Amino acid sequence: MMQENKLISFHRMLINDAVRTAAYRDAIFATVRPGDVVLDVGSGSGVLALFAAQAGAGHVHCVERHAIIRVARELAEANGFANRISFHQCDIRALELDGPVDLIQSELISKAAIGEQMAELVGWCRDRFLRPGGALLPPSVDMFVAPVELAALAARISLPAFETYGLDFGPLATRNSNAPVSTRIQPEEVIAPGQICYRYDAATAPLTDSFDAALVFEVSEARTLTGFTIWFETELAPGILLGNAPPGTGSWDHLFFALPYPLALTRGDCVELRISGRDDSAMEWLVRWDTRIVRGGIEIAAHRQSTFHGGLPIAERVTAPA
Amino acid sequence: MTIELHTMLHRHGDLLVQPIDDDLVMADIQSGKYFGLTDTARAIWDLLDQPATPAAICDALAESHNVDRATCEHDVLAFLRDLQGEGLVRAAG
Repeated sequence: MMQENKLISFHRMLINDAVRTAAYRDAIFATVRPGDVVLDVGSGSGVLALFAAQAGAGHVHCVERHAIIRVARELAEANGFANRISFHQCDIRALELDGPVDLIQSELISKAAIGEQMAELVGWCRDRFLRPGGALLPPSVDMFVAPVELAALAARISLPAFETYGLDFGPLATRNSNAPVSTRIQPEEVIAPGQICYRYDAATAPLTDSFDAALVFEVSEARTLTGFTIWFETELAPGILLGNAPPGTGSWDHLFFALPYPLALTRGDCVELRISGRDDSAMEWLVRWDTRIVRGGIEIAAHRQSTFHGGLPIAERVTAPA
Repeated sequence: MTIELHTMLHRHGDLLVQPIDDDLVMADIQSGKYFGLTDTARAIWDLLDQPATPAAICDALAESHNVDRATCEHDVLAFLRDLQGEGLVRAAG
């Protein structure tokens, strides 16, 4: 669990991301109708709940499992909304409400779109508390993936050659290239336009974020492929867009999914990517990316990678058949 | 289809596999499950590297494990049926 001092700095960063915060405020004002009952899932510091109250909600329920909900309560009191916001510090599955809600709002979007169990947490509430015809914010989230050239970062995260220390880092190298790195990617580092690999639809999504996409990126100029990145785009309300396409926003940077080694591409090469993944409480954020580079119809490189191979599986999450 | 001693079996599913010490840890993105195979379970999984029948697996285990044939067949069949239930093995053909 995140230490409280880190929680404060984390939520300060979120609030200070003007792109994020203003977009959510605009969307909440466009969505909330006077008197609405709103459920704010994963409230954090409660800023989105405060916006809902400002927008005229009759009552807002905040549900948050971390102690940061104390800050949300303090902010509600300081802003005169304490009588219209109630606070539930609990796991979402323990939440009990005395009636349906008109709107479920959340910001459970990770830098790679999924990874905060958005589908499971929002879906759980949707299926229990949302009145028929009620609204969900965000209504959908698109997940994009694109090949990138990050030569400096690729060099920085590589391991020492044998000659440096007289040690073979080979076994760590495999884990290293399967462990995504958080970084900030610039538009010019994107080799080909991003393509959608997953669309989360809040109204209909099952309780698992799960995707499996086969994509082809055509290379238009000589570049060096070092890996891939993922970002999200969403239309929070009609005309109110939010996303972290490179260069990202103040609080959302990017994940870099490295290839084992850089690959020189020429114009006309095809980067074939099969990317699949899953995120829920049973299998927290697992992504697999299989890459194939084709030149003139001939395969010149192929890699199979996954975050599973970038980590050390925890024994208690393993269930052996009897 | 119930697995019997002479049912030809093969591994099924696009699993992510990682050896940890002497064990095998596997992740199935489709089902959202992790599996850990230890000791004899791993040995049986390794023997399914190529399609095989439970009888053939028992032949191989009899050489490497000190177990009587009836117990071996009973336990191997039970384990393989569990794997089938998890979608990890299928009958060939």
